[in-house]
Amino acid sequence: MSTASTPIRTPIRASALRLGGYSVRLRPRTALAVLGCLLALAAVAAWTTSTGTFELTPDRLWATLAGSGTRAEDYIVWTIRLPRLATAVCVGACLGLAGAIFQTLTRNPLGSPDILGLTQGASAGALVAIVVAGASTTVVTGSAALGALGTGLVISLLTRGGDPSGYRIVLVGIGLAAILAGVNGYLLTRSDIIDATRAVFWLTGDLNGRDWNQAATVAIVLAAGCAATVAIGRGLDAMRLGEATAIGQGAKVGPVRATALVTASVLTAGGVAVAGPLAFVALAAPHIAARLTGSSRSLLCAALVGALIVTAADAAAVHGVGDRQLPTGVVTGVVGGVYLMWLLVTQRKKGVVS
Amino acid sequence: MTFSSVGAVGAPPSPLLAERATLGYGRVAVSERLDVDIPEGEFTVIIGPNACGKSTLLKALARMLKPSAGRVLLDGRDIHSQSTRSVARRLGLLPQSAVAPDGITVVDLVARGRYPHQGLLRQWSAEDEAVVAEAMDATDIADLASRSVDELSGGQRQRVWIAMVLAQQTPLLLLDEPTTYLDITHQLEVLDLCAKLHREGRTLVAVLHDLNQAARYATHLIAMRDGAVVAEGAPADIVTADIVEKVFDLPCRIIDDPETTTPLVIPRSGSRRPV
Amino acid sequence: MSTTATGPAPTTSRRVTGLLVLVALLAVLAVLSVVLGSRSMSLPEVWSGLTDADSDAYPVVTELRLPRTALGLAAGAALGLAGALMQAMTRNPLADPGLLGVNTGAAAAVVTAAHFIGLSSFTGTLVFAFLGAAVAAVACYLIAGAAGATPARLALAGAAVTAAGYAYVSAVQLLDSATLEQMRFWSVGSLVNAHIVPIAPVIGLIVIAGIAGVALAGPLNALALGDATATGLGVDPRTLRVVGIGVITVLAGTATAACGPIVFVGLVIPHMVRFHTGPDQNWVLPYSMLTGAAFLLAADVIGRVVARPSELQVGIVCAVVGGPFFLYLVSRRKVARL
Repeated sequence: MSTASTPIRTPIRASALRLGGYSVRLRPRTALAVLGCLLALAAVAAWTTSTGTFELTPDRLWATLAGSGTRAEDYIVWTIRLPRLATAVCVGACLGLAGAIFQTLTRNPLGSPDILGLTQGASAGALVAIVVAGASTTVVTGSAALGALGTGLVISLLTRGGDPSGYRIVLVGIGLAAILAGVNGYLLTRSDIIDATRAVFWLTGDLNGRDWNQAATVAIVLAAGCAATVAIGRGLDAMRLGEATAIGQGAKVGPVRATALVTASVLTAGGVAVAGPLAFVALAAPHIAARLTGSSRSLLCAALVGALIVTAADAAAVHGVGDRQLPTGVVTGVVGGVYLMWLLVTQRKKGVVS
Repeated sequence: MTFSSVGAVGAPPSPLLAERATLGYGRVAVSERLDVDIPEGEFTVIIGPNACGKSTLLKALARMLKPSAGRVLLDGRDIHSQSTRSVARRLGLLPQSAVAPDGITVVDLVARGRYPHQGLLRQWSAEDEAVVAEAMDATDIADLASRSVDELSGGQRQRVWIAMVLAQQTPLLLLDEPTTYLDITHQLEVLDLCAKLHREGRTLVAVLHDLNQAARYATHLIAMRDGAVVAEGAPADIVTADIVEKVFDLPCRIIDDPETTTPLVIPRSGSRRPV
Repeated sequence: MSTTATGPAPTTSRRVTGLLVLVALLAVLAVLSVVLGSRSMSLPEVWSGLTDADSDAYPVVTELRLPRTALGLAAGAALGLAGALMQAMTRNPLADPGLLGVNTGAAAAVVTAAHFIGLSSFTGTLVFAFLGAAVAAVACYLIAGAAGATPARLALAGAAVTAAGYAYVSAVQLLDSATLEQMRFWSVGSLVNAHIVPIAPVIGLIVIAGIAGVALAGPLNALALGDATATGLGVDPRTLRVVGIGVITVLAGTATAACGPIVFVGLVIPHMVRFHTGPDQNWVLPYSMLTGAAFLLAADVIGRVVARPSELQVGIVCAVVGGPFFLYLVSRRKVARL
């Protein structure tokens, strides 16, 4: 392939950053979307940290963050608001990323941890802890995580070998989701009203009272999930061309799929265990991200959009309805649902949905 | 009983071959103990009636299907024992059922073909760019670069897929029915392109359903029926009335194509066997 | 018959046999449903209950068991058929009638009635639930683009409506614990209120919608080949979708209004049916009705027997018993695509 004697006549609009033998692809539209999300996230974060029953002006906020705030300010910002914010960001990123991975894996626009049973698995774990054991928050969290992971494990065991397409994952997922929904319903009817209220509250999804421990837990899960995603990112992308083409290009389809399933399950477990099954984030974030970035599936963008959704929803839940705090899950459900409805109504052309 | 016009002694070893391979799906075997050599530097076309196992053979050669007995060898070693990435640098595959992600542009899709040459930190080198440009020139789709693949006609889309496989830069190219759904002009365009790639030194293996096109373009033919190879060799030797009738149940006569002097199959009228 | 790599194609005689087996099974289950319960009866007792107005068994049989059996059959058939129709129309295996927002619409309406109006009569709740289901389905259809609703958009619109509705339901429940108490039992799905359900209108609606639904089999077969091919075959996809959604809403809405949301049946029964019948809707639809009815009735009987003297709600039994069986089918057999 000599390029000296045959000058390239075709301009290719694909830019890259090159250094030595290394190169990184630059996608302007994706970069812009990522930047936009980060800016929006920062704005919401600043607003939610300084607003509330105890208001902070921007310079006081800055001072507190730098370490020179009063005791009251320190308490409000560092002990109440920042951990909640950090949890919201990490949970949203986990769910957005998990949703994007599942949609690629199942090649179905509805493929999300909610539909595939992982959220119900987490709920089952939490409900068992609440209703059967009347347990503390930590135990509920751990139990929910185990529930989600267990469901992911069952899916991978039942889809091992055989038909390699995403179709089988989908079917096993919905079967498991249905079983677990039945179990959850049963647990709800067998509990007393106090436990039932607590259970429904958890099932709605909320970020109230989240502390640094929980934020740190989700952050670690997110970091691990991101590392795994980076490792399989190229392979996942190749699989979008269909199994046959992906194999032909030398993608390790089997290991990539297995890793993707595990990664998405762990991410879901982390997010749902700490914040409950926040409705709709994992389903909507990838769609919104796809709309922002065009055809390139940016997993990073899906994670950021997820973080943005949860953070904004949490801000609205805390401050939106007079002095009554709503559970965050209500807001993500309503806002996410309404936004997607609006998207569908205004975008009549094909190509935006999925 | 196989009729072969390929000289056995002194021929260079095949880069790609199936050795006593039993191929199938699930418990149903399509081919048993199949021996097929793909000669180096030839444009090999596999022909045969529907369900004769030609697509299955191609898939096995492309390591998509693992033989339940026997093996497939690439460069003398078992293809399944080599890393799939290194195989991808030797062997390019154009499958029948390729899926284009929604909204992807032509240049992005062709660029995907560079996958086996790229890595996490080698995402888009100058060489990638040059190869993609060349592949698009070779398939004459350079002016479609920024169009969305969804908007293209069938013929244009097929050229984009071929450009993608070309961008993979492999000495061996496997094509599974590359002319399906194309009109006659585009079919010949695709085949002319394949012939050109062959002249440039690549080894091609294609599954074609049109016997006359196969006879016109192939330099080596493999005729299959019921999972076994019935005849293989140069078209002039293989495309005879006897063999065509044996493989396709089609009584015919053979004349020389006035344009290319390759064999041309003329089915006999009125005396075809009932299906 | 041709033999494919996956085995012989389902023959007509095999399908007919299956149908007859199902009908026989239904008859057996119906009898069991009348005979078994928190208090078992012998067959002569049942017979005297049916014929002799003065016997002890009469009120139990005619006012409790018969209506319950009838409702179980009707609701099961309605849900099975609605699920099959939904999956055929959206060409998506993840689709169930709940995806049109039917369940959530019903729940939202019930919750609204309970909290804001203080409605607690069963008939009132039933009417509200049905209206809520209908409103949700229509909203879904309009959001998905009405005439331009492709399967993907319909599914997404349904997911959006479901999410929004579910959030609303949770919010109201958390605000008002009396409503929560009422909802947590309604949400599970059970036949326990069969004796106060206005059986005749419910069954009547289901029968009419059922006939309309089964009549859609031919057009749906064409639709499975894609909108373009369907139009070429003389089927208008847009009209088909309107009619289809209407039928699904009546079927699922009625069943949900009478029994509460029972998720499993509409979602999984069509998959199980397709394993046996293949994708031909002329077989899938009737099979789904019969299998759905049999399944629901069986689940109800099990629920009544297993937890004597109280009962395990049918929604739970469906999920917990049917689920593993479905998973077994999926993991063993080659999956029949839509």
